[in-house]
Order: sequence, then C-alpha cells, then structure tokens
Amino acid sequence: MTLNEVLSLHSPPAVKEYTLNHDDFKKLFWKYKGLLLDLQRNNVFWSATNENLKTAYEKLDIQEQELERAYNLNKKYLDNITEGLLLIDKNLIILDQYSKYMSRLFLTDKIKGCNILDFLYPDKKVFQKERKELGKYIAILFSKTLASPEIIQEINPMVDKTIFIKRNNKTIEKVVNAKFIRIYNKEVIEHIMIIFEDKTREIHMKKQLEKEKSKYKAEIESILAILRSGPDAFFDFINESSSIFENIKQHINELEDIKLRNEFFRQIHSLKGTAKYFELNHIAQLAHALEDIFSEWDKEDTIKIKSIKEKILKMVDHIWNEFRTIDKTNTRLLKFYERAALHGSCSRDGKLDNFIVSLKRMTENLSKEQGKEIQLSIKKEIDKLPCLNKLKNPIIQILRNAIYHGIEDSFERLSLSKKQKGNIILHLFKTDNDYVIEISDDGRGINFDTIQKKAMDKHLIRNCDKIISKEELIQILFSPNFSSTDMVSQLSGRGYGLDIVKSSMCELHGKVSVATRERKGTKFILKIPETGKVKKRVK
Amino acid sequence: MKAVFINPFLNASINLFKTFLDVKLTNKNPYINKDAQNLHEISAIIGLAGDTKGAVVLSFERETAIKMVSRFSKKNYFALTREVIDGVGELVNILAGNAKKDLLDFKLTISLPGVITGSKYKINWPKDVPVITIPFESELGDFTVNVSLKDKD
Repeated sequence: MTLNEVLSLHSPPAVKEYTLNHDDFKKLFWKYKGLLLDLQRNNVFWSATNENLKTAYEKLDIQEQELERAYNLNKKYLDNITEGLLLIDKNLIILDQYSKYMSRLFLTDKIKGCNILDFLYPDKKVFQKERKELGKYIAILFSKTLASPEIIQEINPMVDKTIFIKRNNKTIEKVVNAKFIRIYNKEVIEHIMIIFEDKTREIHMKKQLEKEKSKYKAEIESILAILRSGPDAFFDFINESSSIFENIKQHINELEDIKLRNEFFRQIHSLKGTAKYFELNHIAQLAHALEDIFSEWDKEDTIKIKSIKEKILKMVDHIWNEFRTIDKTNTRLLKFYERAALHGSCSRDGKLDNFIVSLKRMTENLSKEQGKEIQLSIKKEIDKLPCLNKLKNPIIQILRNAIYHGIEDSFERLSLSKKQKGNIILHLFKTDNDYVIEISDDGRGINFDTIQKKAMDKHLIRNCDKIISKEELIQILFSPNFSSTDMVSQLSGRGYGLDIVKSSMCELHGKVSVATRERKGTKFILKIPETGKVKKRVK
Repeated sequence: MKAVFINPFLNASINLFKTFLDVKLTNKNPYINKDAQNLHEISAIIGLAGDTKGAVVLSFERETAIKMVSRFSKKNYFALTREVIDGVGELVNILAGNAKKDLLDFKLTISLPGVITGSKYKINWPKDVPVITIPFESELGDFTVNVSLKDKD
C-alpha cells in the first residue's frame, strides 16, 4: 500500500458545509450558553461536595480523637478507681470492661465473661443460700423497674457481706459492700453496674475497737469489784473457779455421765451467781454461755457431743483467760492494799461488813433488773462468821431466789393488799452451838402444787396417786435434778439452784431448813456448828 | 395480777400522750380502788382473755376528753359530741395496739376498745380480784387507768 493510499484511508470525511442563518446561529448560541451554565453549576456542586466531604472527614477525625480521649479517660478511671466496678448483663455475665481494682480486691484476673454468682460464691453447695439470694436480687433489679430505690437498697443482700476467696490453697476472708445501679438503654434496663467496696479493714477495726472497749470495760469492772469486796475475797473466787475449770478439762471425756455433767453445771451456775454478786457481769455472761453449751447436750447425737465438748473446752479457756486478767489486777491491788494498810489508811478487816454491803448492792441491782421494789434489811448480832467465803455462795443463791421468785412485783403485791415494797431480812446470830443465818422474805411463799406438778413433769415423782408430803417436796426442791432440769428453761437465774446451798452446807457440816407459808413468805435457816470441822474440798 | 400484763398499758398511755398529743404524763402511786364502779364520765374498756382475764379501763373526765380529742384532731371542741367520743375511741384503739406489741409473748386476746359515757354505767369487773387504779396527771387534765386481771395459774 502506498503512502497516499494509507493516508486516504485515514483521511477525515469530507467536510459538509452548512449555511447558518441568523436564527439558527442564535439558537446554537443559547444552546451552548446553557451547556456552559450547566457545566459551571456542576463545577460549583462538585467543589461544594468536595468541601462537605472534607469537613465530614475532619469531623470524623475529631470524633475519633474524642473517642480515644474518652477511652483513655475511661481506662484511667477504671485503672485508678479504688472501687471494684463492673457491668453485668441479664445472664449475670460480667462484661469486658471493669476496674483494675477488681483484680486487687478479688485477687484474680479471670473476671470478664464469668457469671457473677460463680465469681463471688464458687462453692455452689456451701453458698447455696447466698447464691439464690443474690440471683433473686439481680433478677428483681432487671425486672421490677417500678420498685423505689429505697426498697431496692433495703433488700440489697451485699451489705457488709463476708466472702471467702480461695487462692493458692489459702482462704482469704473479705468483707465487701456492693452497690447495684441500673444502666438503661432508652427505657430498657440493659446492664447492671456493680460497685464493690472493700470494708474488710473497716469492719476489722470496728471489731477490734469493740473488743478493746469490752476489754477495757471488763478491766474497769474487775477493778471496781475488787475495790468493793477486797482482794482476799477474790483469791478464793479465783482459786475455786480454777479448780472447776481444771476439773472440767480433766473429765471432759467423762461428760456422758449425767451426774458429772449436772455437778459441773451446778458449779458453773454457782460461779455465775458469785460473779453476779461481785458485779463481774462479763464473767457472769460467759458462765451463762457455758451453761448454754452444757444444756445443748444431746445423748443421741454423737457428732454433736463431740462439737459440744470442743465448745466447752474453748469456752473454759476463754473464761480462764479472763480470770487470769482479774488475778493480775487483784495481785496488783493487793500490794496497794498492803502498802496502804502499813500507812494505816486502809484496812482489810471487816469482811462480813463488806459482804453485807455488797449484798445490799446486789439486791438493789437485781430488783431494778426485775422491775421490783425490794428492801434488804440486816439484823446483825455477830461480828464474824466462820468460813464466810464458803457461806457466801449459799447466801447469794437464797437471796437471788427470793428476789427472782419469792417477792412479787408491785402490782401483784398491791392486789394482795401487801406493801408495794417487798422486804427481805437477813438475820445473823449465834446460839449456844451454832451460827445461824436466816433469810426471810414476805413474798409469795413456796407453792407446793406447782412443785409437785413440775416434779411430775420431770418424772421425779413416779407414783402420781401417792400423797406426797410437803417435806418430801422440799427435798425435791433441793435435789440437783430438780434444779438442773428446771434451770435450762428458766431465763432469770435458770431456776432455784438450791442444790448449791445443800452441797455447801454438807461441806460445812451445817443444816438447812425451810419455813414457808403461801402468800406470806419463805424463811431459809442455815446453821453451822461452831466447832465443826470443815471438810476440805476435793480439787 | 402481774406487772407484765399491766405495764404495757401504762407505757402505751405515756407513749400515746407523748407521740400523738405532745403531752408529758406523770403517774401517781397506784392504789386499790374500793369504789371501782365510780369512774369518770367517759371510760374506754379494753377486755383481755387468755393467760390473764379481765379488763383495763381508761377513765377520763369530760374536760380531759374534750381537750385530748381537740389536740388530737387539731379542731376546737367545746362539748362532748359524738366526734369527741369517737376520738377517745380512736386514741384508746392506738393505745391498745401499742400495748399488744409488748404482750406478744403471752397467749392473749385483746378486745377492741369500747367507749361508754354517763354516770350510771357499770363495769363487769372480774370477781375475787381487786381493781388497781393508776392515776395520771397531764396539762390536758387527769385520768385514771383501772386494771383488774385474774391470772391463769
């Protein structure tokens, strides 16, 4: 192919010639002008869109920065807050974000994705109740939207709650407080926020403070008691109590024997009475608690017996520790007394007088406690009483009985046309052969029908048809079985405790007799031979 | 007739006057009322049955009752109207309710208080037990709490 041929192939078609008149030209002009305007408009639109996009990108950028800042702030907050903060969903599952303190509080990093119940109470069997309670509470939070926040807070089960965290074979006890906050999305509760607060230290400190306070109170109580009654009386009390505790410890494996058990019960009861007399309320309370442990005894349940024995030993040690503190205080005060006596400013004589003063105070305190009005009158014809320390207990027991059971309350007395104020007389005198202690009250007297009924209930009397004499009923009143079985059910002094009187009098070779008239009163007469030898107590 | 059954009514009286009427009550010594049918013009009777049996009667003079109810309802009454008598009933009802709280340890049925007025009414006191009267004094006037209870053996 020649060049010309090639050129002819690509040559443009021959130009068609148009002749435009004026109108055509005008039309064409306006058409082009319209196109040009459109083009211009499009151009403006595109440049505006471009501008918008730019602003949108900028905005997105700012938002992203803000989000990042918020996230960082949130993280800082969650990392540094000293409260355990987390969110849970309706399935009780802990969400991803929680405060770092959670790991410190619960000593674990395995938090997210856990069920809150498993997290707090992993042991399903032991903490069945707690799990159920918390589960129910969270369900209420999700469902009962109308319940007021006050009610919701009132039923919160996680207030000062002790939880046990097991880590590396160790169990750590923590006291936590949890606040539950509903997180709404529009009007639906989406999550619950839980804020845990560690109260372990605070509660521990509080307990410690309480302990210190009661220790301090007990010490003051001991000092006052010793100052009132003199150190000598206390040495006897401490020695006697020590022998009781030693005996219990020694014979702990023989407690199945009901006689021995009753004997110990009686001794503790007597110890309680003496403590109350000395106004050593903390000791009286502990002795009462020990009595309670004794009365839990159930011969059928061997596992329970084992735990009771352990409890007894623990309580005995606890009381004995208290006694040791008293002993130390007593020794210190004794030195002070001796020094003071040397200077002639203080005397350790007058034990009987001290005892009588303390009996008056005891009567005042106990009658106030019972809401009764009682006057204790003393007729003292002797200056000394032999074996006073051994006589104190029986006198205290009889006086306590008169206050608790003998003297009626003021309305009862009024309705019986008696003086509103009850009267107890303690008469101390001497006959040719005996020292005599008479304690008489103008109370309701012994109701023999009641004793007989009680004795029958306790199966102490077998033949119901037999007519039982008053003397026999009095004997029953003094029997350990009558007192100890009655004791458990009685709140005030746990019953009559007259077997304590009887055994003390036996020890002193003395006699005890009772005179009583219904509605008129009761008189207990204790006689101790002047020359009688006192049997040594077996320690 | 034991204090455990009587004291709740005395304490409830003191509390009622203090809480609802802002009045301090002082009680005088109780005594055996030998003329127990001769009470004040308005008496509210609370019956008791169970561990103890009998009645607690709060007896008010006309003036005391009017002043009490006026203070209670924050209205001024000058005569012993039906409203005043109802007001006394309401006050004693509150009192019995409060006393009941302290008697929960006993087996006791406490009746709804009934109010009677006049000078010729007779109260059916239990037999063989005296009536103890506890007089109370207050700025609204005096009144008495009269008790006669026969305890179950």
